[in-house]
Amino acid sequence: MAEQPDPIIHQPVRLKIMSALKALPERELLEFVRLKALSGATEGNLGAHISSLEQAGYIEVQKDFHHNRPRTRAKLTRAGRRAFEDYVAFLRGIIGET
Amino acid sequence: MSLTPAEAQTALKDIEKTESRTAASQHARFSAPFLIMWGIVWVIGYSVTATAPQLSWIWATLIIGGAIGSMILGSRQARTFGRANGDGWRYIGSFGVIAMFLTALLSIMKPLDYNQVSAIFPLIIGIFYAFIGLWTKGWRMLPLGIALIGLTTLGYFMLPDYFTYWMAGVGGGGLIVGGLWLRSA
Repeated sequence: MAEQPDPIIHQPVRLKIMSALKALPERELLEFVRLKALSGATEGNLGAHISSLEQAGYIEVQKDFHHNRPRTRAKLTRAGRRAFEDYVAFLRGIIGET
Repeated sequence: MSLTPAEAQTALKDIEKTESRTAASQHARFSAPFLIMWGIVWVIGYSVTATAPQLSWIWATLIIGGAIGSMILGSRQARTFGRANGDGWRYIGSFGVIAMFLTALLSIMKPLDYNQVSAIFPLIIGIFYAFIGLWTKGWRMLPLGIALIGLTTLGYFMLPDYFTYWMAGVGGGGLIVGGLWLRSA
């Protein structure tokens, strides 16, 4: 188990983004507007955190048009899923759960 | 960077809360168009049978149309949500099982009057929705299922002469309103 929490995930908004995406089946995508509602972040703040997670290779962002309107969606990558699981294991280790 | 056990516990609770909210919201938004479509089917079906009982064959047409519509919606929703679209056989299987069950039930319970036959289908759908709400992350289906069972029973006993109108408005309309409620999740 890691001795320190993953600094990319260890931030309240990024943790909420990762938790929300982890709740989805592996190939499923979540829209930016839904992530905004679920994380409680402002649009600019959310965009910055999404960029950090994307640069770390933890999430994949897809942009397209849906019903003639631009749409941004995100999903966890395999590396992101693994990093999140490690992060949860780290937290459980602190409270003595395995 | 170090965390106390209390902070770790709080973080784990936040994770669990966000995961539950996300799963419930996705489930509701995925299901919403199905409820709206079936609500429209019910409004048309019950309205036609209330005003022109001789056209009761309309139900067979509407149910086949609804089954095809469900498959199309399933495929569209799978694309929208980025899910694998391998559920076609589940729709076909579900309608097959429902048809088999209803045929068996109506054969065993007959003779049934018109209102009894009209009440059976909403009651079955109601219990189905309630179980989805109880056993999956889609908790919003539970109040919808309970409301459907309650309103069907209420209309059956309180308004027997207007039961099909009641089911068109409250049953079909209720599904449409329920679908809109799910869509807002």
